[in-house]
Amino acid sequence: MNPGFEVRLSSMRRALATVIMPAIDPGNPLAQEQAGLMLAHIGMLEAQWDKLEDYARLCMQDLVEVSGRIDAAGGPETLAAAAGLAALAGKPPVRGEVAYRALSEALEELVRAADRDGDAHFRRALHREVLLHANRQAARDRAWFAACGFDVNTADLPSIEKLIGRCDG
Amino acid sequence: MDSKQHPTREWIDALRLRYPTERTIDQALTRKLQARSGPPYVPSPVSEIATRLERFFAHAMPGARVSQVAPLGGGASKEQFSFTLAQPDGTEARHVLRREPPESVVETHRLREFQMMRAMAGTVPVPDAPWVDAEGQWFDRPAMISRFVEGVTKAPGSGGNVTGLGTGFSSELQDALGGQFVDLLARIHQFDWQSADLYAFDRPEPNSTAGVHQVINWWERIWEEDSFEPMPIIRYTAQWLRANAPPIERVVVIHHDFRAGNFLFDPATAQVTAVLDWELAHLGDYHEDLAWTLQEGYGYRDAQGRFIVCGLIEQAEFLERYERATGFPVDPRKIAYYSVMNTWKSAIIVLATGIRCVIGGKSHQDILLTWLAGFGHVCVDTLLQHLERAENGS
Repeated sequence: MNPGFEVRLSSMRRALATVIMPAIDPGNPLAQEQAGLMLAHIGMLEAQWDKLEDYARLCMQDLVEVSGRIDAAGGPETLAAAAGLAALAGKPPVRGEVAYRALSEALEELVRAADRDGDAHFRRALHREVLLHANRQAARDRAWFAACGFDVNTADLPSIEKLIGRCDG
Repeated sequence: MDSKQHPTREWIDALRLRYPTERTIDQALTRKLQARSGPPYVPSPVSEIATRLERFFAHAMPGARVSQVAPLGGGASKEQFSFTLAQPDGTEARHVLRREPPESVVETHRLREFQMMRAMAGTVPVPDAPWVDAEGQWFDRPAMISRFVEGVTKAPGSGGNVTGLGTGFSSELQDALGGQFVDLLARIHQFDWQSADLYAFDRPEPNSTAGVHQVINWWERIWEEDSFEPMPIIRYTAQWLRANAPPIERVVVIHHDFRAGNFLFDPATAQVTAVLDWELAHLGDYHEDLAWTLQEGYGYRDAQGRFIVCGLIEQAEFLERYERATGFPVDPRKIAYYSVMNTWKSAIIVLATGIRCVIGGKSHQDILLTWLAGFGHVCVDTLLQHLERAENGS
């Protein structure tokens, strides 16, 4: 366990910034750009590596709650997809990231199935759940990836620590 | 195991049947899938590129000489190398070789890009594109050669992220470039494509939604082929787009990525020297291009809260000038529709195809694509806002 990720990532960042990048051929802009991106990735990993599981479990829990609000109605494809989602939500995989992905896949399958034989009223309710969930997930993911610098509206985003309920930094 | 990484012939055939789209787009996507389980990207030494160029020109222009081959930066989707070509008559000029990596963040067809660039020459400034190797006969993978054009995508010291997103322009440059920017888009849309040599492009039927459905099929197929993490909102949006598709009343050339970062200008005169990146061009509804250019991620809001399109020109002025230049009415409902479609496409590009490239180690820009994925979540957030606006008619 020793040295841990924090120390190893920090040493990688320093080596890249102080030794490797200055040695890159100035006539190779692709190599220069990619080294800069490596440095930025390492910085994000340093900030996030110990928060990933908490973050993934937060995202997973939201989908479990979405599943609990779904009351499917329609043909056999819709009912089968809803049953699959409910079963997965009742006993999700242990690792947060794996569970989140599996639940997302099951919900996506329900959206497809409902398009084929879902009851119209149920489809509307499902779409509302999908839209509301997407809003919450997009806000979380924007916070998670805010350091990439693409988001022009970061003022309203919570910190990752606040998001996962770890305000001790 | 992720089965998309090792697609079977049956799976590919089923996708082609389920999502019928343009012939050459189908060819490009099918070729990508057929090569997916092949080896990852390995950078070619510059000497190998030089040898390939020499062999190509020995055939295409006997007596020509190739020198000063060097990799170029930028270019999230294709490998780029600059080189000097000395022609048999003694004239010398710098050129650019654009070659496909084994997989790219946007999988496109070099013949389409080549034909569109040649067709647009004389209508808007484009790099002269004399040669294409559409099947990769000479360069191992499909490639195209164009003349190097002098110019910059942003002023030295200005802001902006990778690939030109969020590029900042001074007020002087905004004044000089904003009008040109609109006029160039207007000229693209007014171009008489029916008389041009564009046989690689399918022609959408006017006053029909068939062409729109073809575009939805194109991108939903890509989501099916490339997505790694399921996203119910992407699937729902595809259904929404099908249900709400408007007919294409006037078929025009769509550049499809007309924004800051994709044109060059001379910093001394502030004149645009070239419109770049035609690889996603197709024929469709001009609102598709307008909505693309109007994307939030490409511009910013000024102190008065006005949206500055691509960091260049205020939105109301952009639209007024466009209508004046073309005579084409801008329908806000169609802008709303295509804003949904375009942010959906952007999310698919960075959150599905970009990540799929990286999983297979298929691109020269894997590390950039991983970084760009951060943009995808902004796209999804924007997509949700556009869906709400389009549904509420606001």
